[in-house]
Amino acid sequence: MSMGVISKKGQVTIFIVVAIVIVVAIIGAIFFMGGNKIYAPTDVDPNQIVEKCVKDAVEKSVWKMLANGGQRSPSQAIMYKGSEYNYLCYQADYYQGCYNIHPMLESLVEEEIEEDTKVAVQDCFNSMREDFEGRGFDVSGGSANYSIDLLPGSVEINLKKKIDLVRGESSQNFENFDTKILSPLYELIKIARDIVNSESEYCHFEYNGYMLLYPNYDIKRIDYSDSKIYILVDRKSGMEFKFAVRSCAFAPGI
Amino acid sequence: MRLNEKKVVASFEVILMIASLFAFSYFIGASEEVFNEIIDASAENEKSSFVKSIFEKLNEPIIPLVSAEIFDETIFGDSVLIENTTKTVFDISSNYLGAGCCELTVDGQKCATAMADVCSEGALFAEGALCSAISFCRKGCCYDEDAGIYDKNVLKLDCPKSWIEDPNCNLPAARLGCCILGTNSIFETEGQCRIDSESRALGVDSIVDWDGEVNEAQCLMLSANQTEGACVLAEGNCKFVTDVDCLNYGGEFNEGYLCTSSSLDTVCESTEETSCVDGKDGVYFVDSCGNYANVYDSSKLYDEGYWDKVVPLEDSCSSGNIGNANSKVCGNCNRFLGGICSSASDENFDVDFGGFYCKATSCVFEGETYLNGESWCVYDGKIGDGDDVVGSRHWKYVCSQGVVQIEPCADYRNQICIQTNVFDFEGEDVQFKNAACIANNWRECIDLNGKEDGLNLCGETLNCRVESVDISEYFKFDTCTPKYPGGFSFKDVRYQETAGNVCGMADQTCTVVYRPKTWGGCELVANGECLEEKFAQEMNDLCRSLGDCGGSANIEGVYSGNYMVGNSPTLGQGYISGLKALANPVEGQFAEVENYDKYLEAAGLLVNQDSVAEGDGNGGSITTIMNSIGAGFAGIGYAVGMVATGSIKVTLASLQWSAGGVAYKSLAVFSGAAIGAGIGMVAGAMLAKSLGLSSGGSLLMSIGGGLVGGAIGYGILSGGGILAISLGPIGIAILIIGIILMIASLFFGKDDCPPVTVTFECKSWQPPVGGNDCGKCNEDSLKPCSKYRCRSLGASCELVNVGSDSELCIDRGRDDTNPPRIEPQLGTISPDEKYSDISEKGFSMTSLQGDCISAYSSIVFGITTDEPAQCRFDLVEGEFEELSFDLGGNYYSYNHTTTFMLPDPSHGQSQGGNWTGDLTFYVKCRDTNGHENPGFYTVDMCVREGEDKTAPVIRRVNPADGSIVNFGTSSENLTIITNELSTCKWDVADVDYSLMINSMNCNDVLTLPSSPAGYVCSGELPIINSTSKYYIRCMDQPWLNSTEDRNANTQSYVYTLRKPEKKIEIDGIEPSEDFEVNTEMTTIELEIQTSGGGEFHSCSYSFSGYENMIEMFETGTERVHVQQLNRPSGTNKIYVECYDETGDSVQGSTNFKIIQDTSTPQVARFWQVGSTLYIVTTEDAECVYGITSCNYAWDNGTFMGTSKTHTISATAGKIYYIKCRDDFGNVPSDCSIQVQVT
Repeated sequence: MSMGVISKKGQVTIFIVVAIVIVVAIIGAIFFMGGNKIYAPTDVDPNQIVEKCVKDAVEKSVWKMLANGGQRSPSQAIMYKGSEYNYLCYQADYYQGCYNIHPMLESLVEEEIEEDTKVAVQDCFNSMREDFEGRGFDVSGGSANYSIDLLPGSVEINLKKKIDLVRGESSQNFENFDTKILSPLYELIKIARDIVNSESEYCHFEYNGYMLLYPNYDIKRIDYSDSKIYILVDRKSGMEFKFAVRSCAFAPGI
Repeated sequence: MRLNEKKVVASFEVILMIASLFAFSYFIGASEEVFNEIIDASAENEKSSFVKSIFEKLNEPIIPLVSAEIFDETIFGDSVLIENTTKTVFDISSNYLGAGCCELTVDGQKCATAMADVCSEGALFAEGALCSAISFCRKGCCYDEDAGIYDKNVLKLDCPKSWIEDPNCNLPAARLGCCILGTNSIFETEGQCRIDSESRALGVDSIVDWDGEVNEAQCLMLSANQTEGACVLAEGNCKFVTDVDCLNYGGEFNEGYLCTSSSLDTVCESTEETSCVDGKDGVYFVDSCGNYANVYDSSKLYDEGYWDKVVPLEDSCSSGNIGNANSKVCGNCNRFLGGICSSASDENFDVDFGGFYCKATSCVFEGETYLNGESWCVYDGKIGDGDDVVGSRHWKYVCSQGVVQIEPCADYRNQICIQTNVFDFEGEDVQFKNAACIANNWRECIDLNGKEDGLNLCGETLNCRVESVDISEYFKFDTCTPKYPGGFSFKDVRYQETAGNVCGMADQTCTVVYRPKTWGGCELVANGECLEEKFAQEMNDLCRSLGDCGGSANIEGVYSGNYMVGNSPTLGQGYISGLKALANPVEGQFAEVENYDKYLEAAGLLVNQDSVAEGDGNGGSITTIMNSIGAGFAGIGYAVGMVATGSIKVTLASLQWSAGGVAYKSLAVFSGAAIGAGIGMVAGAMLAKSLGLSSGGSLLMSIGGGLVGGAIGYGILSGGGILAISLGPIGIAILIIGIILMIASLFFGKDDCPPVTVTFECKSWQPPVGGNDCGKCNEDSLKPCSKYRCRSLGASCELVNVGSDSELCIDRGRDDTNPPRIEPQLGTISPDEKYSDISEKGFSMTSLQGDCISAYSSIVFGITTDEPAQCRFDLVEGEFEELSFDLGGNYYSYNHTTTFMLPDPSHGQSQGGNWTGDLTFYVKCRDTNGHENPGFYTVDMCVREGEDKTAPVIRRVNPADGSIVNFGTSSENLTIITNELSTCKWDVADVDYSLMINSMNCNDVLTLPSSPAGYVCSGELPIINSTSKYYIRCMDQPWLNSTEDRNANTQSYVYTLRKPEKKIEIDGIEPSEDFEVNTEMTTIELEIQTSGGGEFHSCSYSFSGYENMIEMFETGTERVHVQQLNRPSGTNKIYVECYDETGDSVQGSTNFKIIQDTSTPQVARFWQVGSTLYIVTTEDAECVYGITSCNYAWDNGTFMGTSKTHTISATAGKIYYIKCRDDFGNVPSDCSIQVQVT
């Protein structure tokens, strides 16, 4: 019994020693061979750095869009409980249906996100450049082609920029930095359109029935100071799209 | 008000509504006509001192103490309400001079009613126009066909894509249909469906499964009924998807099988994991490949059979809970019954396996359970029957997946919450509470009182009810009032002024008539009930049913009285307690769902063939209503200083004459006795009358006088030198009896039995002073505070931090300990007067020369306070609440103005009055905290007295000079208003007053002018020619016997009436012919051409008949009336009615059929000649082609031409995907044809 145990321990020890020798030998060979340095893929892949950076920027911007009814900052808004609610449909006069003041909201939001994040996106490349230059790379690049697409369930980031990483004789090229973030923005904007179309035509949106038909969304409506505040909630993500409507407002008297 | 102003100035309905308020006072007043006859008969008994008269007249509630603006402009004839406050954008309900439609204001508002100076530079501005009628503010459809996005009601300048002038987006591609996306379905346009399909990572070649023939509910059902199964892919991979998706993935579809089925030999295995699934309510097991399997059932986790095939929901587990809510073991949720899939960890819920459970979706509120989706109404107190308390709001609560959400209905009770507990589903009653906030129709109820048949319409009009005041036989009337009275802004002067007018509709005077009894004393003839508390109660009920008016309680049950009762008991504590109790909600009460069918039918939103019948029209022209404006008012100035001096003066001369004797000694003794008796009786009667004896006393006096006279006559003619001897004992006895009777008669004096005028003044409701209750507005999180709610709790309550998350109702006046400081309003005074002797205690008003002010001129004065205050005044000192008159309105403001006229004191004196013309107003102001100025602020003035050498002035005429009358009329009633009591005549020739033939009816008395603008005379003028000219002159002081002492106009007021050449006619209505469209709904332009009639034409339309007409927006020119309407395809009948300012109207209708052409062009044949491919379509069509698939947007196709024959220069071997569309835009969702070229 005891002999068997000793021999097993010995075998393990031998294996470990052999393994260490092999590893040291390989490292030594590489060291003494010289030539191009080998980097782990993550080290030399600017995509991950840029993507993460860009996604962070776009995510922040998406939150702004959600909070501000599809704009970086509200253009015409009502204050309610300390927040500004951007008007998507507005009628200054009493008793009249509203004008949809932000048609093609998807396009508007895409442009707004692009405008809101283009500096940050450029900064992402600058950071990446500094990072790689700090590691001895020559970094060169072309102009960026940047756009945002709102799609069901996601915000697609289309980012094309030619990046050349050169160190010594080795170089790598990168161009496609496309990525996307998951967001219900597209769906929430579609609901907002239904609401605005209905409010502008009938001065009313039957949100109660809508919630029953589409249980993934929660719609809150508050009648506040001649306006209606709408808060659309995607129940899965908890994200809220907020906006206001002033349609068929009533006067406080005759 | 001219009809064209309706077109170009502001909202017609609301002006009409305001107009009707004035008309309404007259309307109610007119109900007393019969009763007035009784009053007239007793008027001669009225006696009062001058001071008493002033006081009484000032106490009359119908005295219109109105602001200068309203007084000058709105009471009579053409009227415009002038806005004083600074405002950049106006509500459409107001009628502001100079306002118009501005394309873009300086503060960024588009298409707003505003003044020109706040319109942005370069922005278009149309003065006097409604934005809805202006081309640059026309709404249209902004669309992106590729993306399938269609936005309604967009201005052209706001649209970054395509725009057409159809606000309803009636385009074929805007049609919604069902887009199937795997197990999900979305109700959207085909374009959106394409994008959604592509974005599901299925690429541009993915199958677009869109069906335009189903509705939204069916669409959702389609997703639930999708055929699902295991889609086995290469290398044993598997996806649980629909057959269509499996086709896209290129896998082998196994309907009804799960990916974990042992028979499929996939790599997927069962797990303990669970998940929610899009489009499904339940919790589902998840396999190792990430596919969902059957519904979570903890008992079946290790049951291989449960992981083999799809188990229908009805055969799945049930925990016994409704909807399996809060079950640890079963995930067969049903959101309608009470459960829906939710994260267990988020909700701290323990489940046997996995991380999800059926979260309860029902809600418990105040002990009652509500199902998911149920909604119900909550109120602040009793509702309906005009009982809604001030500051109250209707609330809709919704149970949304276990959470109670609050939706406040529009404030000021502009919306009401209606509720049903049961709905009909395929013939069966289903219990499900459903509530909705809908518009409160209270304005129309008020408006109906100005219409001829308004009361008849009232009962059948939405949210309206007939309020009956039935106090006595001669004092009863009906009024149309809202079931749910609207609220008024307490601090906005503009709305407080109109609130005063609305409330003023309940101002009433009940005259209690007495007559003397036979043996003295007075007996009641009529309206004695007005002297009881019942009068104040019923009148207050009417008052508060009109809105926030009169004595009412707020949401905290705090009462505030805003009424005045004259000569009758005020509201008792018992009644007031009842009002306070209205602040307690009534259990189980909710606003009923009324019948909206006739409104929907009229608007064409509900088709009811039975109701489509021609009617008689709705009657009630604007002219009729406006003609009533101004009547029924009494002027304050005329009230001040006027004396009721109608007493009959019987001089003693006649008595002396009769007693002094007629003696004809030649008469026989008995004749002498008879004559003496007769004379004695007459003398006795006259003496009785002069002594004011009752009828019984007069009888005794007459008999006594007769006896005495007879005895004396007998004695004289019997020749006796000494009366006692000549009479004899019988004669002496008769004489003594006569004297006794005469003396006895003196004990039966006639009592003065003047009528008692009982008055009720209904004022706009004002919150109680102070702010002790302000904080209560912040206490109930389920009923968030608002400006209206907050301000109703106290006069010094104010909502602060508005819009922030710390919005609070606070007492603004807590630190205020000072009373308001009063100063004269220097900028507000009549042009002929000035303020003088200004001190802290008051001022005087004098003429510009510093002496007394002129009689019969409009006198305007005002004061300002350094903080918002209510101001009142009176002719005698008293407590604030006792002062009879509001200075500037019954609301808190800085500026307080009033307007009135004063008569010449000598005119009153000439009829027994003793007023010398000196007058002092005692003014008190009270701030929101109840602080009053110490003592009184006095306003002194005197009215110039002197010989009247001025002829009367005709101030107003109605109809206005130059008006057009009905085409068919042969006469027109004219009403004129003079500045002083006059008699007036008219003639067709310009001659002296004395030569004029036609006298007008001038029934006003000095003490009671019918209009605040002056004294009213009326007459009927014959309509002679197309243009008739009349000359009117008046003469003042009609109480004078000699016309030489009176002043007549030496120059005529020339008045003209015109008659149309022909009655208003409808020349044409479009559409009048059938036409084809390619959509279910079509935006049509209803166009009506009119001619003849007056200058201003307006039209209305209806789809159900002439009973319920809808005013057109009048977007056309004066004779062309255009309205955009959204109509379904099929047979359409539109009823139209047009009218002019004369009240003439004409009706017409149009019938047409909208034919929906949805067929797409068909390819009849195709052939190839060489490299040219020919396509022939069945109708003219536009064709394009693609070369990859049918799944391309129209605009991306290559154009092939527009005709029946189309050609392509084709390449051999290629497939051409061809789409063709007709003139209506009908295009197949797929391809018209696919052709492979050889």
